[in-house]
Amino acid sequence: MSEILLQTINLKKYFPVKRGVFFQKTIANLKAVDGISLDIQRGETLGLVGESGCGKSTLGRTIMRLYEPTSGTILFDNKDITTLPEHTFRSYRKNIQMIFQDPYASLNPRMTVESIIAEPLKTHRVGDHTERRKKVFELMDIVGLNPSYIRRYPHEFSGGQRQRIGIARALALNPKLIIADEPISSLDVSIQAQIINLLIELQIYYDLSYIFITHALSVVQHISTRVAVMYLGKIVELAPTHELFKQPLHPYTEALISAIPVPDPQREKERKTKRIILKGDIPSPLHPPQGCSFHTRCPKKFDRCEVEEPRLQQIGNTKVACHLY
Amino acid sequence: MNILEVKNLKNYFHTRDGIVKAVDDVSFHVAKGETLGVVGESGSGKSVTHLAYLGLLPSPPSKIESGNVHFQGKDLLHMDLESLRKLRGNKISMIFQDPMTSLNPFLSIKTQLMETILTHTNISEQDAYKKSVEGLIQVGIPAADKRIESYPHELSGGMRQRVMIAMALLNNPELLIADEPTTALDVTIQAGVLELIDNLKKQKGMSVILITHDLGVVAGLTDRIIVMYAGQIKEEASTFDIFNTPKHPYTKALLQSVPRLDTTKGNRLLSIPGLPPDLAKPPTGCRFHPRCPEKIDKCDKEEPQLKEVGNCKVSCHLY
Repeated sequence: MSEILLQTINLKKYFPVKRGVFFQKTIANLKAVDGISLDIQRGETLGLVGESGCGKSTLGRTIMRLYEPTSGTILFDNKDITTLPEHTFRSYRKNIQMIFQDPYASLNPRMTVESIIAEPLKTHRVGDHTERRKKVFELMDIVGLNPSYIRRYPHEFSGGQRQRIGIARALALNPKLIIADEPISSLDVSIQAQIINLLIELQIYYDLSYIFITHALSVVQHISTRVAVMYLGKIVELAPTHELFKQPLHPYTEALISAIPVPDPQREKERKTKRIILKGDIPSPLHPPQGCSFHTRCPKKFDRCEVEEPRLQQIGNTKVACHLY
Repeated sequence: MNILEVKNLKNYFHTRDGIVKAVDDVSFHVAKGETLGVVGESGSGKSVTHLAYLGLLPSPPSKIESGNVHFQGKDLLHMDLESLRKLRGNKISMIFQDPMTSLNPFLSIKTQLMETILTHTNISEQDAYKKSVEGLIQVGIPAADKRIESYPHELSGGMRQRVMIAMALLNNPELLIADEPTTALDVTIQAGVLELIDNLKKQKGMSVILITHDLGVVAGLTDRIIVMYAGQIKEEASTFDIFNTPKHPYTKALLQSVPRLDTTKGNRLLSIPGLPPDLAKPPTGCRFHPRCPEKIDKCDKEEPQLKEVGNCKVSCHLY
């Protein structure tokens, strides 16, 4: 079997909500990530899906320790990296890199492509100037950018090309894990396919693991090995991709999948009649509902759901947090 | 009967970098009670076309060069501003993509809804208030009489979009132009909003133009689709034909480049190489030829015309 590359145990990230000017008092905690336990195998893609505000991006950033976790443990290669001091942690961060959603905001407009891609190498003191330049050439070639553009600035590139620059930067330190946070959402349809294909090729070439954060389930189905569905800071279902899409167990997953329109008029007609339309909006994570956090919108809710919080339990290959099982 | 007829519309932007041909010879129509889908990538002209004939583009730099646009027989392009204003928000209304920026943050929902009614009809403020509350109930906003007092920032994205839809429908429009109405929303909310538009359309018998880049959204909602690329219409056909027998290489490529839920997982998506062209310097001949997998000699020399092929209209030298 494949080995576990990264594991989180009961990981939590709370953002304190403060009131007052001088003697700030914490009046509440926004539980953005609330007790997440999951693992990522070497070479696999874990899709992380959910609606906006469910905590999927915060989870990604907490794993990178861009946010310091409130509690819980992160194990990388079986080593606890949760509380490593910054200077020791740096050598681990080389192994985990990130691709961001907005290729317009995540590249410094005053830096050339060369300095953007070489920056991680510089920060981690890898090689000298000529070696770094060679590496930049190599990376640009791999992600499909013409290496002769090395002196250009981000504004001279299109959205898709900028995302390629972001990918090249993420690859510079030969990471083992890449956290991709909505890497294609801001791109045009015809360009999205180019980037998805590139990510899949790179994965095979470098034996990378991905955490692929997105709200687009059809993309997740295409690219992921396993999928974790999040709702209000918690995982409600985690399953191998084909099982999740074939037979979703959690009512939320079911609704999420049924809500996606399919580009086929005939199939859409059939799907429409069976479509589950959720009532209301996601509750505020500041005041999550009692019991199961999904019960306010759940079409299959019964009495117990309002009182008792369901635990994540194993059913076959799937983990699900729902009182129906 | 056609409620809207657009013929050979050209709208250019005169910029410092040259003339950008954003809408270049576009013709289409919308029948009464029909939903027309307009599909294309960013910069294809799918939104600008409609903003142009509604007079919603700043001029300069934008200028309508030529063409004819008739709404219920009335010429929109040669209408005085006052009459055009009377049509907009009344007989023709529009839902914009971003509910966060298209509502005024300084005014309550109530003020904004009532303004829409009072601008176009001579009824008392009380009646306008009543109609506004009814409008909110219709789009499924709970406790509408309380919510109507709120300001946009107090509402979630889905709620705001519903307010936008309610506002667009207040004066019982005959044509609703929905520009990416669900792009900013989560899928579960999107499903509700789309169903709402569809139901209201059937109840009121209005015509809808649905502009989107999401092929899934148009598949379930529209009767007919036009596919736009680089400011021009590349294909026009019934929704069924577009998805089952796409003719233009661009339409075909677009359909194959999206990962979809209902097909088996493949390893590679077909991607369209290259980028959409710069409309200040569009390619010669067919504008899609630099990216086209089925390109022939003629394509980079001669511009194809939109012509009828069976039940469809295609602009491609292959036909």
